[in-house]
Amino acid sequence: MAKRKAATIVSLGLIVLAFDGTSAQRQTSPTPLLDVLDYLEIEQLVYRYGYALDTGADNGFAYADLYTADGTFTGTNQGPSGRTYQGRERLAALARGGKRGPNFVSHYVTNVVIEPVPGGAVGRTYVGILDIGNGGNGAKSRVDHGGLYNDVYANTPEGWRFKSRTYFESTSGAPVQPPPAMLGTPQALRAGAASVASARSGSRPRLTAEDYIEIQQLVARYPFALDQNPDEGLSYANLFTPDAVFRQPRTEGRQNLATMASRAPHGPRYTRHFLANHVIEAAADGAVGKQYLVAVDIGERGQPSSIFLGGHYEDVYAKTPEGWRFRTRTFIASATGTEAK
Amino acid sequence: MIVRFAGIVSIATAALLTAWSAGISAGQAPAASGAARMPAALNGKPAASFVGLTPLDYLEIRQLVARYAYAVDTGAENGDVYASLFSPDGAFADRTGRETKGRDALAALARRNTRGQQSAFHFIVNHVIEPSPEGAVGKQYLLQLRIGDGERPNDVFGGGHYDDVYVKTPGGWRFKRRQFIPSEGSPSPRRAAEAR
Repeated sequence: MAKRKAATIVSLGLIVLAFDGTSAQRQTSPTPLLDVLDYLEIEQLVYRYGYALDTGADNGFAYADLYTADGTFTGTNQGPSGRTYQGRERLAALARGGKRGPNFVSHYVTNVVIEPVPGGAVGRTYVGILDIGNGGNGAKSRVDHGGLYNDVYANTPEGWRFKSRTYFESTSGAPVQPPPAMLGTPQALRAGAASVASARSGSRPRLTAEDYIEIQQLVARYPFALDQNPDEGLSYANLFTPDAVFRQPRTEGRQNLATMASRAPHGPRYTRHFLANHVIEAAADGAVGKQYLVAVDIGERGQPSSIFLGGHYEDVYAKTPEGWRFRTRTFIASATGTEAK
Repeated sequence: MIVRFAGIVSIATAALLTAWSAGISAGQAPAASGAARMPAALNGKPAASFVGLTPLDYLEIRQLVARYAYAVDTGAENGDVYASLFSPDGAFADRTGRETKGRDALAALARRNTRGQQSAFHFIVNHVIEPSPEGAVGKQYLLQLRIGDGERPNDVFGGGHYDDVYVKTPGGWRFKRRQFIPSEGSPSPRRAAEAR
């Protein structure tokens, strides 16, 4: 009896040892997987940031709700040692200050690098903070400031959120603040494909990773088709459905779109339309999206460059047999205003 | 001093990866392949039928290009981070087509071009990626914002576009060739009702 008990204890001990061994192994295993949709969803979070801050929507709470409940924003450029904001109310207040408006654009975010870490993800982005004149007026627009965000993301039941976001003002020469984490050699992303697709499926309309990427590619092609226009507007017109409508000026149908594009300045090396913050959402019969635009007249041969126009596009996308296309695309010039969206 | 992500990791929450976004949800991936079907070829050509880049390839190539900005602006690790973005035979070509090739030369290029450890100058947008027989090709716009450059007012320094060839190496996607082409053809200032 006593012997048997001892034996039982020993085997239990072995089980515990074996279990500990497994969990230790798990902890030291390489970075965890994010799946492809995690990357896309974190990008979407990063792109929503500009709209939430620049519009001050929902009395600033659209901005606050991009953070986890304990999330923080730190401006290392505020005061001698920076300032940190935490809590929904304080974050919302941050989004109520300064120039705002339902159609105001200022925070242009790009160069989004995302890396998986145990328990979530970290990332960093560039932000150009432009002061766009009312009505998108380029002559009254300027580069206000800008720099880098260092982020920690957490996956919550509501989706990916900022656990922390820290802003570093760009500066030439030696860093003012402890420098943002440097990037090492890029590793191949260890992303799972659609391993958890079923966990996310529901009755709501949804988009696959392929849909997001195709729509992103559609929008990325737009400036090339318009500014370089190698074929009398055909490339440009082909980005739209046959019955598409562009505004403004209101232009309907591929022939008219091709004509409009051909009247715009263009050339094989010409770049003018810079897009950022591409937000995409599933809709009942396709998808909708929006981006920031800053159109810049790039100076040549040492001439200064100048902002021509700023604002945002609002799009409806349709999935056609040829792939995703613009069904409608509407440009809305930047404007400050007081009413929240 | 290089601050590694490890420091940040410790404050990341241990959120489980099983709860999903309310905003964006996933559909079932196509059964046959994860590769994305791209918009029909432009220039009036018929749609290419399926070509082999997966969504993950697109993401990796986008991450490569995003990292480029940090590597070139900071010249991190004596330019080695910049050099590591290229394949061993990879080259950066300037506007005239003159190539800088090989790890040492590329690292030296990054050391010459760095603007500081806390600088942001290369704002890269509009990234188009296409499959090619050797891997992938791509292009983006570059907007150069001069911010925090001494006493000079912040401004747009210039811009243009990149033309890239990517190759998939055992370590991931890398630049095989990357060329910067500055913008040409800006009209004299005008207020015409142009396509936007």
